[in-house]
Amino acid sequence: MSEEDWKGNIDSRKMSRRRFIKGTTAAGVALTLVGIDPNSGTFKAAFAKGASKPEKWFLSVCPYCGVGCGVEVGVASGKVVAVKGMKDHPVNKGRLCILGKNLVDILYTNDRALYPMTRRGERFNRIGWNEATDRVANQLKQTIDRYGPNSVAMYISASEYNEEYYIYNKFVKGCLGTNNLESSARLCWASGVVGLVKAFGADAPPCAYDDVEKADLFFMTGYNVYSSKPVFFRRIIKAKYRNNTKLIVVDPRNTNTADFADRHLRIKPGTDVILHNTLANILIQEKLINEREARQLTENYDAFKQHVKKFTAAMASEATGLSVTEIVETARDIGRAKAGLFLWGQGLNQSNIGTRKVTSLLNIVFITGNIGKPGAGPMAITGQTGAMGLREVGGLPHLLPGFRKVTDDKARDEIAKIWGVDPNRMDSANGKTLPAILEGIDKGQIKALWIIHSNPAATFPDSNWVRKVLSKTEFLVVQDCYHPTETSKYAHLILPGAQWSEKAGILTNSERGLNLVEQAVMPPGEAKPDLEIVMDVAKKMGFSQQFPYNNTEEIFEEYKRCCQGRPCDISGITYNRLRIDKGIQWPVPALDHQGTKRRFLDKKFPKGKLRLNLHEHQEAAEVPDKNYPILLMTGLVFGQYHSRTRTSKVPALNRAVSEAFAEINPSDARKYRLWDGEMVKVSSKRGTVTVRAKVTDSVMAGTVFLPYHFAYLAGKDKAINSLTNRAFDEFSQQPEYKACAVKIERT
Amino acid sequence: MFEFIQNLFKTTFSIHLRPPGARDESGLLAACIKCGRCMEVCPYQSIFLAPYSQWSLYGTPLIDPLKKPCYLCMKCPEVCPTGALKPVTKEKAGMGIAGIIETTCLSYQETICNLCYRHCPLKGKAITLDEDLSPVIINEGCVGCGVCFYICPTQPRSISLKTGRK
Repeated sequence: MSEEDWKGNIDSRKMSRRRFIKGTTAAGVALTLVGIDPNSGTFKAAFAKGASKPEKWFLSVCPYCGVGCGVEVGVASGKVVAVKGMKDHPVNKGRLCILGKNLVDILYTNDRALYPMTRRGERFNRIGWNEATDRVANQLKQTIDRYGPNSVAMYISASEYNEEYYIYNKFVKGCLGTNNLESSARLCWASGVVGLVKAFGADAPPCAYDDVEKADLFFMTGYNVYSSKPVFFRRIIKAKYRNNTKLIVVDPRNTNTADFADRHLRIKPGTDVILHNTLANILIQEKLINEREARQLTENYDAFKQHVKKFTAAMASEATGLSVTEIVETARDIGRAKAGLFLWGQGLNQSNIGTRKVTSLLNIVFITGNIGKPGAGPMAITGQTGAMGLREVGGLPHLLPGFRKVTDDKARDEIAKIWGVDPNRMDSANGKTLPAILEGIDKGQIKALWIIHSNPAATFPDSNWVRKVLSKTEFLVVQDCYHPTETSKYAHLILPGAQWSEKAGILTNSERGLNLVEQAVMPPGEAKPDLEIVMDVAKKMGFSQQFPYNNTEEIFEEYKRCCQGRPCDISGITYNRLRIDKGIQWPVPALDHQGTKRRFLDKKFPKGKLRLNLHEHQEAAEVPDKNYPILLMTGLVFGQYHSRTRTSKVPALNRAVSEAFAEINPSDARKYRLWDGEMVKVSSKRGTVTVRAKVTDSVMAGTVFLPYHFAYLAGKDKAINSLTNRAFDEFSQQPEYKACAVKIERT
Repeated sequence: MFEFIQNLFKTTFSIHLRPPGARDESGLLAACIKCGRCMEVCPYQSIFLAPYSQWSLYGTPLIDPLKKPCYLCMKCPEVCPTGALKPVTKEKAGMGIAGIIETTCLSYQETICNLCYRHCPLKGKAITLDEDLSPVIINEGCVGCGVCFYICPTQPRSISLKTGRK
């Protein structure tokens, strides 16, 4: 008897006593079978429905955010049946958030890509692997012969493993001879990373998650960490309650995180640079910092002091909409804190002045001396699992493995030697970033694009334009574990890739901790681990010599050689060691080295001293005007992840947020005569969406918030990114998702 | 065991709520003229009229929180012609009361979920979080709209819902 039948029985109130007792017994038996212990009534683990007990457990890492929680994957008869938090993992200690708890559901869905497919018109026809890889190899070869290597580009996801990045990198930069290897980290943390590089002189997340317990101030700006990194947030809140740590949240929205704040600065969207510079000015003027120490740490303290002089509290109050007392008290809190942890998120990054916002925050960190000591520093937790590894391996158009730059002749020689390729084959100029690649397709410079596990048709701003560009591409290969996605519809060729727990590799989390992900099951159908597909194509293009690997461990051993003597030295790490030392943090130069929890404890920075970047505020690329009077911000909601290719398959998550909505302030709702729950049309110069109005004072008057998860698969007029603006940060090329002008109409 | 079965019943069988601001059961049955305006105006299509099989309630508005809960937009009391639904504020909707079943609630089992807290239409007034980020119902504040009951990700639900005015 199914659960539905039961409901029907009670509804019609026709249940006899006999059937009632029968039903109860059946329920007891059924629940025991699905893994609930009726004696205690607790879930033993998140067992899949009707599955048997796991026979074997594999080590793995949750594939969602950049925190990198350790999970164990339970397998029974070749299928993943259970997932549980790893009790002895230093990051999560057995805890998971609800996304990680429901991981089993993402594997066995109806829309997995099972075999290679080619498109004819609107239809996709099944082909064999041999034919598929032949076609990719021939097309790439022909395109390169005719238009040169820079007419080819690869766009990868930042949720993959270090070994995969390494193979993609070697294939594209070493074999094809172009640096057009771009990743979805561009949409996520590009400004944050460029900010770190500008300030430290090298990409360097200096902190560890353990600093949370040592800090006595959390300064979070543009960061809804309760919704985006729940496991990490629990740690913050526990530390806050235990140590009485002060929590300051800067956010224009009244987010879930802001509910816990001791002080919530509800700043006017986009004015962060002014706030940061003013805080720095007050800190200097009220002598809350040690000037001598600041001069020692930084190379241009006096110029900075002069620069921030004009940012007075009164002026900032007018610009940011905060009161003078709020600003001054915040500065005093920062000044008094012995160890302050500074966290930021997409609120700063996804802006046309994202890098400026990040560096101006880092200025505060540096002048207050919150660097190189436990419990202090800038904490950058990425949105995708593999984003840290991506930067180490250099899966970006300007990098080579081991944080080397492609423009550096010596670096290219070193890497070419390890790769076994001709250094003259390698391109010495930076490759194209994602905006440039798409524009290149539009202008006809890029002829072939290979997309791996990414969904730009849903995630890139102005998605109507992106769809037009993708349909114009001469040769588009989409390698994904799901089909259809918004992007795979435009593919000429679909290659079925494997996903989490179907392939092996190493993931680096946002505190530089390395974790092993074991292959638990075989990919479904004819799907293959992604690096095997790329290697197959490479071999068909005549590069068999460069790809002699039998397993991922051999790839890792070669990658380790690239990191020797570099900041990310991982010579002391092997696959076997990672089975015991989970989450060990680089640099690990030797086998007996215990890893480096915090960097720069000796205050020796990559360039000797830290740099204070002097920046001015700048308006968003598109500001509300007469026709489009409302400012649109996009962001995430808890329970969904990016373009929902995974989370839309989890029924437990989709009950909470099943459709796109627009958060509208009550005063705006009155102005446009909107009622909570009504459908409302939100349109910008580029597109229109029809979503449900959610009247709430969690957004400011004159602003509206939409969750970015929804795209064309959710409905024709539900693609949130068809509204957003194609404006980019000048340094990082990260798109501005947090500001564009829209208008609201009743439907 | 007995407690578990009891909880199971509470969470698996559908219970029916009255729309927000409804009078007590006898008052509602006396005042409701079964016009269906509340059903028509509901933007979420949460309200349905009791079918003939529920003969004593036939035609009166009901909400099934297993299918679609009430999001407390408070549109229906405004259109009620007879005052069977009284125009009240969200906080006085008085539809019932929710309770958390701690033995199955994920937040009490080392998982960070809190979906009920995040999506509560009376955010912070009906459900709070304790120091472990586990949800706790505030009996005085909860109006029993059923949103937490609807979205609870466990199977069976870890929220119980009692109908009727406090």
